[in-house]
Amino acid sequence: MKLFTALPLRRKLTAIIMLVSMSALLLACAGFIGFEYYATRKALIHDLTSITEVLGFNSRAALRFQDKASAETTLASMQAKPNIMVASLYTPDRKLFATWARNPAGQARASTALSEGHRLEGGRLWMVQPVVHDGEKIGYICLESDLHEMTNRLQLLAGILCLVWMVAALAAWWLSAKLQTVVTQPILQLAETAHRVSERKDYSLRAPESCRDEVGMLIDSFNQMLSQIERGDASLKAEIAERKLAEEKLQQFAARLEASNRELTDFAHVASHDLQEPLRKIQAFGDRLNTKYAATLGETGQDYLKRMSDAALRMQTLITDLLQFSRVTTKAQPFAPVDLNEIVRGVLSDLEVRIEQTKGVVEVSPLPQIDADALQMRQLFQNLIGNALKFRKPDAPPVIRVTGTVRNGVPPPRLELVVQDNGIGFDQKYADRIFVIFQRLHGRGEFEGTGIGLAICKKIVERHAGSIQATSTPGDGATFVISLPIKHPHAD
Amino acid sequence: MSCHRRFLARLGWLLLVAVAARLTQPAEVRAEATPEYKIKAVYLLNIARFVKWPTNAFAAADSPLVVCILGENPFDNELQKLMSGRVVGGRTVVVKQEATAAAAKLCQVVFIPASEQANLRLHLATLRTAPVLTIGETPEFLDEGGVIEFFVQQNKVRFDINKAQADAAGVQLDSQLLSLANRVRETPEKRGEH
Repeated sequence: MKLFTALPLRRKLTAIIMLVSMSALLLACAGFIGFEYYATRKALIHDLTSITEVLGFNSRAALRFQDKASAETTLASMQAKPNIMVASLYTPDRKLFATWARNPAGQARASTALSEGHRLEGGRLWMVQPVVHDGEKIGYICLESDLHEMTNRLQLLAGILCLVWMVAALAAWWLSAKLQTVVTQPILQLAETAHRVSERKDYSLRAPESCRDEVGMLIDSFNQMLSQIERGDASLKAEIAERKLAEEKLQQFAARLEASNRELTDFAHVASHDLQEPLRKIQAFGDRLNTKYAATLGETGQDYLKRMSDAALRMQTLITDLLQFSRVTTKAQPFAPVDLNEIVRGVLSDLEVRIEQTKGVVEVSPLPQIDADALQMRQLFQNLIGNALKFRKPDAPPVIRVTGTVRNGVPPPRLELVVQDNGIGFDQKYADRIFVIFQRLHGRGEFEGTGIGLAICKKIVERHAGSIQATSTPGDGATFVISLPIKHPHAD
Repeated sequence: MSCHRRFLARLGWLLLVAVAARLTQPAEVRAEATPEYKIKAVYLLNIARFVKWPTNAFAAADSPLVVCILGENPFDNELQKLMSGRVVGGRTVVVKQEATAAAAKLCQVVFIPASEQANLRLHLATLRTAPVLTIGETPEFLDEGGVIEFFVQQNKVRFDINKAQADAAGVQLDSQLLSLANRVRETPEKRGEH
């Protein structure tokens, strides 16, 4: 069966047709031979019955007169019937009376086996009939007929039928080979087309039209599908081309942006570096002026010198902050597991003096370990806690709360850091402005600073693929919420 | 002594021969009829079975088939024993003994034994025109106008048939009976030659 299923459609169809027609023909032939056997046998028995009757009739006088010679003469008339091999007459008490045999080897039937009627045995047909004369059973006649004629006839018939069968097989083969193309041709063409389509990805191909049957409908549907695919393919190709173009533009834009960004960072870095040199000179010579010539400058002169020194100091802070800002990207370190508790401890020890001065309280809940740039994490906490200490209420000591919560809601797991203070706060409408570089909400006189700190925080958080948000109401403290991924795929 | 012994041997031989003879003799042999007539009796019956008489041969549809012996009966009781109770062609068989041919004209089978040889010509002349099957056992029987003539050849009873006379008498003989005959005479006998 496996072999059959692997056959090509054409062969399969031919095989089915052949199998069906040949088995039908074989059955018909078998039936014909069977009927022929039955009919021939019946005719043979009928013939033999007639012959036996006639011979028995002709043997009456011989039996009556016990004339063996005459009986043998009568029996010898069977010479004319080539089928009859042995003919015998028996007396009423079943004793052999006269016999004739075609061949010397022929034997009369044993009288004990004598039973009226016919019997088929060993390729011979036996016929036994009583001979009745004048209402009296005067003996038995027994004929033995050879069945060779019948067997020969049946063999000849079988031979002829075999020949007919073979010729019919050839004819069926030829016809089925011719006629099966009506069915297979469209299917094969369809298969061929489908193969070509999938091989060349050419959706403009079409299967040839066929007659109006199921296969024709299949071909129509196939062609319609091809049309749909062709249209879809065309629009898809157009869309892909469009997207590629857009992507190219985007990449160019990104490259330009990156280049300009790099230039900017480089510029900021180089500029702030180079700006420090002359600034140091200004500060150095300002200091000398103050130490060597303070007396000669007079009060106004000293005031000017002080203002100059302050400005220089401010500028230095500005440059330092700017350098820090640019270093977030230029001096970035690879991510590694960082214990945030340790980081916060370090920051608090740095800020210890200011906390003491302000009588502030910093409450830190246990924090987890995350993949991060340790130095930048320190900068982050330094800026946030520093800001909270800086923007405290003048009449109350600052209370700062640092908490961390692991959020597993939507993978990957993130750490939510909250830094809350009880300081002056700010108007919520400035919540975005505070993260922009150089943006300040207060005058320089109120709070010193460059307006770079929170911009650095935002830059650090963004580098760590996180987000930072601020909420506040003026006079009621501020809350900074930072969300950071706990794991970074490329962390060491 | 030796003489006595020879006598005893001879006596033994005689006894042996006697026993052998007794054993080989048919049990039925009695004084009634010779084997030849026994066979002839059976033949008479069998021949009657292969013969068809014209309807005018019988007085009525249920009349018996009468077998007559003209003159002396050579069968003793044998024929009577064999025939009695037999039915041939639907008729019961009756055996009669007639003294004259005229009386025998009413029989269907008339057997004329050899003892009637002297009157044979006369008998047959009387019976010639009647539907009677005449059966004889003398050499001139057919020449004189008889139908069937028995004779013994090589220890076997055989018969010749004068079909011409049978036809003339209106007696129909079965072809099988004719085929069993030694000789069948088809043409009427020329009486002038005798």
